[in-house]
Amino acid sequence: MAELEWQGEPDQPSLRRAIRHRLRHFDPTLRVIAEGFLAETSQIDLLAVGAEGEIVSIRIAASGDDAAALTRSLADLSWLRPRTGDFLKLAPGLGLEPSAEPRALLLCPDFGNETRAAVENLPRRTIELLGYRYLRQHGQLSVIFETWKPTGLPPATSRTGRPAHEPGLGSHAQPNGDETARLTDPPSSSSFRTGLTDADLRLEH
Amino acid sequence: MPRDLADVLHHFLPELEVDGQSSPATEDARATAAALDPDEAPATPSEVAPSRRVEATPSEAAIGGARDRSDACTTRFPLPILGLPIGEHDVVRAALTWNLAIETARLGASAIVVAPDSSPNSPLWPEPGIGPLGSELVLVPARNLDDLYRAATDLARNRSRASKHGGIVFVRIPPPWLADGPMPTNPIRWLLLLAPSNRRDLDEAYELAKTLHSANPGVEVGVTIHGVEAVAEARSAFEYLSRISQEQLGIVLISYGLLVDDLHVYRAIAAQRPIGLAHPQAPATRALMDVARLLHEDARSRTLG
Repeated sequence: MAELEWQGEPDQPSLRRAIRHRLRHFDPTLRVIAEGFLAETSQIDLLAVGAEGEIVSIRIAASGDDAAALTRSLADLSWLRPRTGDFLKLAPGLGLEPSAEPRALLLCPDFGNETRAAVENLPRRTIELLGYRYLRQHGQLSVIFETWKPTGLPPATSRTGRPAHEPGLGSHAQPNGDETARLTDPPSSSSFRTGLTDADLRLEH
Repeated sequence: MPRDLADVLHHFLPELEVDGQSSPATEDARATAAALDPDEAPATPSEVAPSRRVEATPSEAAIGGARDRSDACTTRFPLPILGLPIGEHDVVRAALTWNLAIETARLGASAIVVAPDSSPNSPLWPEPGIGPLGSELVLVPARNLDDLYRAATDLARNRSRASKHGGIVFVRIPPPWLADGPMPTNPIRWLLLLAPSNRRDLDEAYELAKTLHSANPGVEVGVTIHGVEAVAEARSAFEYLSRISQEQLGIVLISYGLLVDDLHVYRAIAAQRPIGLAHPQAPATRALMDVARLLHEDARSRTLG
């Protein structure tokens, strides 16, 4: 592993680009449609459309900023909900489903207990937490994800002192591995992507 | 009709207050530009591809000569290179590739199709050069995969200078070249298989994915299902291919939508006219635009071909 190297904090555009790249493997149904998208008062790092046509706010937080980022993610949901119809009118090819509730994905190297506990109060998948680590491989920034699944129970600790449901570093280093499928919640029913409907394929349009 | 939210972003952007000393208007414009075009974001030295002097290749000489400005090469990422296995007489896949390039250009991106000029009288392509919407077709005197990708890499670097909104270099790979041994590792990282939805063709696509994966385990393989009449048909075909690839090879295929079976496709192929310009409202055009958008979105997250 001599070609892998840990580095100091990367700049935000590089990190955003690397995360966007890794998300393609992590959730192939997620289609990123904009970067640095200004919401209420701050920029959503990545704006995406999910498998059900729902709009997804993706925020990338630095270590220690998870609580503030969680607040912003919650605000994003309120900000995006009334605008979904406008997005659909202005960009009908995006495959947005106006009745689908927006959701958020929050990425941070470490999540505090309060952030985790707060998310457990929300309906499932409203806000998903995703840990990340970054490293350089052959000079290029790479990102590794660590999923976290709300249990509704206090985290059980393993003998190593880590929460038992918190996978160790590198759990997503092999995106094709069985471990990925086990830890991802929930496994996607299909990774097929299209912004088209059968109506788009009919000649009489 | 806008296809990307970035195209209409300005409708939603209130005045952006940015930390810093410059005027809000200036910063707003900068933030908007960065949002619209991540490639505009200032690159750090670590992000920038290794600087090297671009030498004129025969391929570039053939298309007007290389612009050797190595200083400019260090300021932008090379365009991503997308390889497409296309046989010597595979007119349909070649036409779909050419049309995908044109739809990519319609999105405001640079789109270059690179193909070996091994068959001067090949029916695969129209006249080389600048084509509709600024898309470009370049035939290069490549005799193997190394030659082809060297030419594509040079073009990816050169064309990135003028590309404000990113782009894609589409490279036609003769399938026999893939079986010639290990692939050059760095450039060939992203390939697209255009697969019909019937089982026999899907199994062929699987075999091709297997060959690609064994030649280069790091390769990312995307699939567009073509020749379908319904979304469900394409979804089912992709899921079949995706499942066996994951189970047998452990690789995750990337879905790049579907292309439809439409008479306009074949008429346009016969006339060597872009479908999107000849029949802008046809289902085939909508499908091409959708696939081009998926490819362009993914291309924008890539820093190296």
